[in-house]
Parts: sequence; structure tokens; C-alpha cells
Amino acid sequence: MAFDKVLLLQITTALTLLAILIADLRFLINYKTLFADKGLLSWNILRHYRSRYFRKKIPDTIYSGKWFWIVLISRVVLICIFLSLFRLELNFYSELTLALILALTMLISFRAGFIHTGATELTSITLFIICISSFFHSPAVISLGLCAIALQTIICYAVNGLVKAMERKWRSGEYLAGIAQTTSFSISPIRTIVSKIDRKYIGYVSVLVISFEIGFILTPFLPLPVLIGVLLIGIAFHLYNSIVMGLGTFFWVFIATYPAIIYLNQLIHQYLGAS
Amino acid sequence: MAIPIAAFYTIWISSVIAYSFSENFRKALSRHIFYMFGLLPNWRLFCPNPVQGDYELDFRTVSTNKSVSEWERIHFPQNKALRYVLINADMDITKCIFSLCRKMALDPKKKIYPQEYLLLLNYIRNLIQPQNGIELMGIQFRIRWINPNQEKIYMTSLWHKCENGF
Repeated sequence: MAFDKVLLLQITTALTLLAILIADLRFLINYKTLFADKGLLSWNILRHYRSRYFRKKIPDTIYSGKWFWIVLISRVVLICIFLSLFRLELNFYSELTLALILALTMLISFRAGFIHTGATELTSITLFIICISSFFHSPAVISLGLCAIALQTIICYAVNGLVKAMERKWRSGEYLAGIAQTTSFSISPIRTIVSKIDRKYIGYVSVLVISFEIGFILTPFLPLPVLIGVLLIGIAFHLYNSIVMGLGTFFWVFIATYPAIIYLNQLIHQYLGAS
Repeated sequence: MAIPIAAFYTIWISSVIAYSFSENFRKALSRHIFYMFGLLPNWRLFCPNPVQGDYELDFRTVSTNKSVSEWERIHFPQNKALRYVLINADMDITKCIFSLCRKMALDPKKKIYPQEYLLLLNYIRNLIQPQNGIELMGIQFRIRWINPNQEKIYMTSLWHKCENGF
């Protein structure tokens, strides 16, 4: 089965922008608590901890509680324009819009450091590659871009799996049980289940999670139906994390990279078939 | 153009792998990582040592008549349900509190006024209101760590004036 690389890049772009849009809505909902001068991340305090070089290059005012919301709103507007007006078609204006979204993402990233997660990092990486692929829009560059996105995601899963596998408490399920018993990263029914269930079963679940993450290295080489099955497990995994652990943005960002993984898989199969 | 881009991606992806596994590489770049806006991640989500409990923030005040209040817990929203899959706005606050408290708790004696300390102080200072018409003179906060097996006070702040200034 042949997949159109432009279409796959468009799906990745749409889902990545959706993830950024959700992040912006969250920032705007929490604006008073997080970014206002009286908020947890008050710029009046943070600015003293940024280098003089940084403060020289980026005007201080745009990060203040008074004005930062304009930066957030601008990114929302640009994403809406890109998704609705250009409908993911690439031309000079849509590329310019993408470049502006990337620039604003960098600005927001510097401001919101304390709420950075793996999802923020994967979003930045994916958006950066999307921009490079869009500016040069040659088939070879798009192909390279999709492969780079896929490899970044595979490395992310694999590193997580390998680091966990090296920890005895991860393998035994002790750490997984610990996370599931927190209020910040779990919900009441799961806390109750975990407190009652035999630890050896949590150990099995932990080993399954580690195996899934390390096993993701194999995704480029799997037959397509098996790959689809693995990606469906991935969707279920991230859905669980977003419902139970509250990691909502992770769901959209990781799913956004799955078309790239399908592309890399098909490219490798084509190459292996041809040789 | 494809060859330089391929070379760039190769170097970048190799750096990500090195950054994930090499302690020396991470140390060498740690001062500059803030300015890379997430393009060089170490991909250790909830590992190797994940969160095993919750941080809680308490504060107490001293009024002009020198009476010290009881410790009062600051409540943050904890609403996770199916409808929050799309926009779980509370998570950013949870993550923020967690990051601030964790950095303080990891090294409570390193500095008296690290940025995390001042950020928490600024936030708490703006939360409190004079009660029953009694003017407040100073505030103090503390970070507690709670999990099913343990409750521990990680750090207690100094007393600070209620208005801006330290």
C-alpha cells in the first residue's frame, strides 16, 4: 500500500497545530493563575533570572502579565488561519504563517519553562521539521522530514523504555504503583484499585509498558497490519495517560507523529522489496 | 538541498541520542538548554525516578497584633475526567506547582532566594487577604511531601513582609 507523503505531512501538521491550539487554550484559561503579575510564573520575578543577552534580544514587555496574552492569542489566530483559510495547502502566505507560528512557539517556550513537558518538546521538534519540509517542499525534503519526525518519536519511546528497564523498581512495578497513588497524576478509582491489588500484577503491567516502549524500535520493520495494531495500542496508551494522569497534550502530540512512523515503515519496506 | 538537510537531521538526531544517554553531554549543555526551546530533549518522561507522591503548599500569617495563624493549605484544582482529555487546563497548574516545589525540595539549602522560592512567595503573597479587618504583617510558607506511606515537611520559608519586598 502506497501512502501519499504530502497527505501524511498534512495530517501530522494538522494534529500538531491542534495540540498547540489546545496548549494555548489551557494557557489562556489559566492565565491569571500562571502568567499574570500575581501568578505563579510572574514575569516580574522570572525576568531577573534570564541572561542580559536574552533580555536585550527579546523585548521585556511582551512577557509581562499585561501583554503576554496577546502573544498567546496571536498564535491561536495564526493556527486558525492556517487550518481554515489555507486548509494545509502550501503557498507563500501559508509558509509565512507557519514560520510565524514557529517563532511564537519559541517565544512562548522561553516564557513557560516551568510547565514544559515532553509533549512541549515533541511539539517544538515536530513543528520545526514541518517548517523545514514546508519551506523547501521538494519530495525529498518532505520524505526526510517525515523520517526525522518518526525517528524522534521512536527514540523518545525507546529511551523511556530503556531507562525504565534499567531501574529495578520500574521492573517490579513499585514506581508505577507510586505514580498511580499520587493525586497529581492519578484519579481516585485507580488509586483505590492500586491500593487493593497484588503488587505482582502491577509489576506485569509495568513490564508490559516497558516492553511496548522498547519494542517501538521495531515499528519501521513491522508488516503494516502489525504496525497499525501497535499504533492502536499506542493510541490506547496515550488515551489512558490523558484520562488518568491528565497528560492530555501528550495524546495529540504523539498521535500527530504516527503518520510519519507509517511513512518510515513503508519506505523501509519499499527499499527492502526493491533490493 | 536534500543532502545538507539530511546531514543536519543526522547530527541533530545523534545529539538527541547522546543527550539522552550521556551524563557528560547533558552537563556540558545544561547551561544553554533553556535557549534550545525543547529541540534537544533528554526523553526521560517519568523515569528513571518518577514522582511518588504529591507536593502540598501551606502558608500562615502573622498579624499586626502578633498573633500567628494556623497553617492553611493552598488548594489547586484536581479535576481529571473524560471530558478533560481535550483540554485539561488544570494540568498546567499541577505541573507548575510540581516543578517549583520539586526544585526547591531537591536542594532546599542551596540558596535562600532561588527563583522558585520567589515565584511561590509572590503567588502566596497575592493570595492572602486581611481577615476580619486585622491587618497582616508577615507570611511564611512551607512545602510538604505526601504519599500513602510518608508525610514530610521539605522546607519552611523565612517570614516575609506581606507587601512587596523581602
